[in-house]
Amino acid sequence: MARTAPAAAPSLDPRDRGGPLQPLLIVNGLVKHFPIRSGPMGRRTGTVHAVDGVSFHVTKGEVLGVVGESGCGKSTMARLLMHLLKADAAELILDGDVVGPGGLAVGELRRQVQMVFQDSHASLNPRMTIADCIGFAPRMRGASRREVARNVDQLLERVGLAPGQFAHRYPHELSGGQRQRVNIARALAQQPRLIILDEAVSALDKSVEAQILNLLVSLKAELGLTYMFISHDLNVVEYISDRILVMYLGKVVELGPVEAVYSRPRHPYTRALLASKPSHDPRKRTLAPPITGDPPNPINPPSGCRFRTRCAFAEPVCERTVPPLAAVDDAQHAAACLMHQPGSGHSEAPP
Amino acid sequence: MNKLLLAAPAANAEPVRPRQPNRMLGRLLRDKTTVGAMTVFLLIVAMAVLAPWITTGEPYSGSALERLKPIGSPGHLLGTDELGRDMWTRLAYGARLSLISGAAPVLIALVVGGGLGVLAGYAGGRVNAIIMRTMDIFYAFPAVLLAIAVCAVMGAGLDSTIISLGIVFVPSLVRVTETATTRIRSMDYIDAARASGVSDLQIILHQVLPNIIGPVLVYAASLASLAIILAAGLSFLGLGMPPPNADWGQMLNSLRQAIYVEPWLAALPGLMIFITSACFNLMSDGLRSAMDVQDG
Repeated sequence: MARTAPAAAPSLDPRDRGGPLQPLLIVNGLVKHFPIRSGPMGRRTGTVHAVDGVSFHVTKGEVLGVVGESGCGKSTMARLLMHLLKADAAELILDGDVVGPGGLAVGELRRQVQMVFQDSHASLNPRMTIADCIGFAPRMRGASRREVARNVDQLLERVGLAPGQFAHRYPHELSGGQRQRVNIARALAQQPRLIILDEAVSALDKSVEAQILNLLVSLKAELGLTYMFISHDLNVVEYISDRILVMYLGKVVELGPVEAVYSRPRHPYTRALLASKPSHDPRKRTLAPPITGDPPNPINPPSGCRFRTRCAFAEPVCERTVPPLAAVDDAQHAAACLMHQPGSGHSEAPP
Repeated sequence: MNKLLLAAPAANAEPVRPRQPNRMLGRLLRDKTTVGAMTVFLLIVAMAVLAPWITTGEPYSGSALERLKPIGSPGHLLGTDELGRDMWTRLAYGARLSLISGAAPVLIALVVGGGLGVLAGYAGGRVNAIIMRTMDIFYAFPAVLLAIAVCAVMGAGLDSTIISLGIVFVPSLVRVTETATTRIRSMDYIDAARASGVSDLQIILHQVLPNIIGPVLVYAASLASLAIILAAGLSFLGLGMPPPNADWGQMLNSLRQAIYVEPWLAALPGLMIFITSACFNLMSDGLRSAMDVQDG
């Protein structure tokens, strides 16, 4: 298991502009609030704070794992990055180019960044053959039929499906794992630099999940890809990620190299999350629940620190102050907890 | 865990049967009821198209001496009407008008209503609300009343029948198309297509339409049977084709007075309306079950 810091990928990609030190994607202040409307006039009666000021970057050639409970805004974030949803506020910088009017067009972003969805069945058109699914976008862009067919065969082979056997079949004739391979091939057809994998292996059974993970690892090495790997499965994220981002109720609570976060989690939520991970050792059963209750309603999130309602270390100061995401231990590892902010007023905080 | 991950073999699929082409058409043709309905319908169409050659060719001329001859009379196999005109000739010519007034409004509604429905379903949000609330206004009027009102404003005639029935059918087709489109729009494969930078129009044409055309066509076919009945109703009320044009509804209207003299004769146009609309209904049922299988 390679646990070295993300080695800057050799800049083979002709599209590389900023060099290995320029992050592939910088996200600044990503916000998405969904209005809740009710009544015949559609009056706005509330707001779901799905993603609330998320900032991070993705280094070239790394795998950034994103974890959190369901409903914490992981998938919304993925859709915002792809511009499938319109963000209320965001600054996206793809390899040094600001995405938006005057900068990089959304269409160009969508060529360089691709997404694989969780539901392998719903993400393939039931009335299109596998070959048509994979070749759809290139074909619509005016590539010739023969060119697309050749390309599709190569892609199918690359994801481990025999073209002669699969190209002309329909999605419902394939198993979940095979369908997810097709989805990966479709993403690869765009020759992306970054692939967002939104729970891409979560719906598969364990042995198939392992196959797909291996496929992802080898594709990454072969094609010099960068992944953003969204999952709720802590073991899988640990296996595949270089760095990890922990989300809670639409905010980043901890961000850092995977070994640092897994061995020295700094945010109480991360600690609870890691403690909830089932152990392989039957003698180390989890006896007490590491965390109780459901996440609070994102319609009216708690003031100050959003985790304080479930946190064992909560103090009055947590109610008043929104903890900023700040470096702990070293510059790589950051947590949003007042216990680690010098002079924050929390009794555990360093002076 | 690591060992397990690395030991996992690559996926390999068992060979499968080759796909037989055009499964839907095959299923449609295996269904005996549907084939029967299609045959009868094609016979009616043939009767309409070939009317000048297989009948006397004179639907408007009759003899006062041969009024209300019963079915089976020599020279007039299906009898004559109250003005002595040959019934077989008038039924065949009437098929032309009745089929047109059945099919044309549905085609109009299919284009207008289908287009609006796809737009509303795909765009969602405010566009959807505006289109759907406008359609709700049309729903507030009973269909027949709306058709009568439009016909009354535009005056009797084939074009006003077609337009008024088209207007009557638009809202329901919008609703059916919008529902189907909204369902497809929420599927991940539409998002996947959008995420590959394909234009919305291309997505609608290549990804949305093939998935909704089935249920929409089934519904449209069932509307065609209703259109024939409504068109007949409008002519019966004197709002469709003016006399002496032969059209089943109008024939029914004029033969109504003869119902005690020659009841079977008076029932003939009604029988034609019944058979034709039943054909449309059975065909739409067959279409539905033939298209249903794939989604699984």
